[in-house]
Amino acid sequence: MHGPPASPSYPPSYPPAYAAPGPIATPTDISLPLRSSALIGALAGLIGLGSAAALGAPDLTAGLRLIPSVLLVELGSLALTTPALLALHQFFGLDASVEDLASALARALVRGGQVAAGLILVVVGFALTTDLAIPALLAALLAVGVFTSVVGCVELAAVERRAKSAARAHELDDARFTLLLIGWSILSWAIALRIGLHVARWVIGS
Amino acid sequence: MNSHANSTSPASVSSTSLLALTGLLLRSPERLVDDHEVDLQARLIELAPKLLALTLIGGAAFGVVVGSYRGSIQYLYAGLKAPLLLLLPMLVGLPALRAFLAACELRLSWTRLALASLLAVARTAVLAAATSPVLWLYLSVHPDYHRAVLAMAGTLIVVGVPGLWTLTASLPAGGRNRPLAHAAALAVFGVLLAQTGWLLRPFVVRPRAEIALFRPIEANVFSSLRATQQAASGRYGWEARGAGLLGRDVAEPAELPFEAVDPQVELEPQQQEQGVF
Repeated sequence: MHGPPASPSYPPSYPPAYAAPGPIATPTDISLPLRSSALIGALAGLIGLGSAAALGAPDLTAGLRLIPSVLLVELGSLALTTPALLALHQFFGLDASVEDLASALARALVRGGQVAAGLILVVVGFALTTDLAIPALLAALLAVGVFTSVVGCVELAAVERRAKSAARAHELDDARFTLLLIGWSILSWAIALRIGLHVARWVIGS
Repeated sequence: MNSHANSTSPASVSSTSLLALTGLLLRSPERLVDDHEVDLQARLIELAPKLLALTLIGGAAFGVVVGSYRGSIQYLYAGLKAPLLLLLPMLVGLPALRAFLAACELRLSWTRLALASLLAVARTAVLAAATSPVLWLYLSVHPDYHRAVLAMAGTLIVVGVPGLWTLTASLPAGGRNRPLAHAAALAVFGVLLAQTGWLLRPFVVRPRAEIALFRPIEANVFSSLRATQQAASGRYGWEARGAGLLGRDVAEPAELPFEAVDPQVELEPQQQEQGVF
């Protein structure tokens, strides 16, 4: 014996089950401008992740220095590799505009910040109950880096594909663009590691 | 599909008994989310108490069985803590899961994510309860402490995989690079489950050990596993110190003479308190 097909107490003003956010996810519309609130939220997520790890820091100085650590690594890596990417992209004569490429990288930063924000609670949990705050921070930083890289590559490929379809299609350009993406990814990780080492030394005070 | 399956349609869950909901949960839980005719928020409101009840009942049944290794008040303690073992990792890991999916272009409402998570946890709890008799049978022959812990962990893994699959299947299609999000979520939930188990320990208590609801906050699950591994290879001794912001006031480190975990030698109660779970 069953009741009516749907609960009669549902307020009629509720949106349907598959109103936004919808069941079928759609890729970000790259033609839409990035909202500044999204960027601020991402930066807050990066700061928040460092702050979460600071809860488990051995002393106050290290804790205070841990707060901007994730932001420094993520922003430093992007800031130091973006000019090279943009310059080489134009030098190779590829199709996407500089503005679109910068926007794609900003989206990657936003996604990385969202991942950082999502991991705050996990790092807080480890900082409160174990001495693994720093390893947890490093693992979270790794996740942020992986997602930033992957999203960055996907977004860059999307803007390039869109620009190419609006202009022309050369097989050679694909190889150059792929090479550019691989080079940018490797450079980003190498620079992130270097900055990470510097930040680590600064945090521990040596 | 038989008549029973048809009789419990997702649209009629508001008037469904717990038992019928359990059947639906085990048979096709994703249908409770993928019903286009029903508002998800209303569905969450009507299902959340029932799913939590199933989690509490199933988890408690599993916990009671685990507590049977020691008996006494541990029946109650383990029965109370086992549902938390299932719920806490999900609660802490949910923002991370949402962020991973968002990074893969899969935007989800908290409502949908909460419903999918509750379904996953409730299904895991029901499956844990269903496998409890097998675990009880094994524990009833009084296996070695470490084997008992392994049996508990193995059971949780066996029932946790369908639970995670439920979570995945309850999420909408689409997105890009979803395997990346799923792999990251699996890693986060795995680590959280292990650490939660460590924080809520003891579940399996040695037969002559002192029973406590919770142990002090000290060390972590990874160091305890390393110590167990070292003990297995003949290297004994482990200092469990207070750890983390909440555990730093636990002053005295406890020396753990793993050499005393010889089947021929009984530990003093205070030495027996430590262990993996």
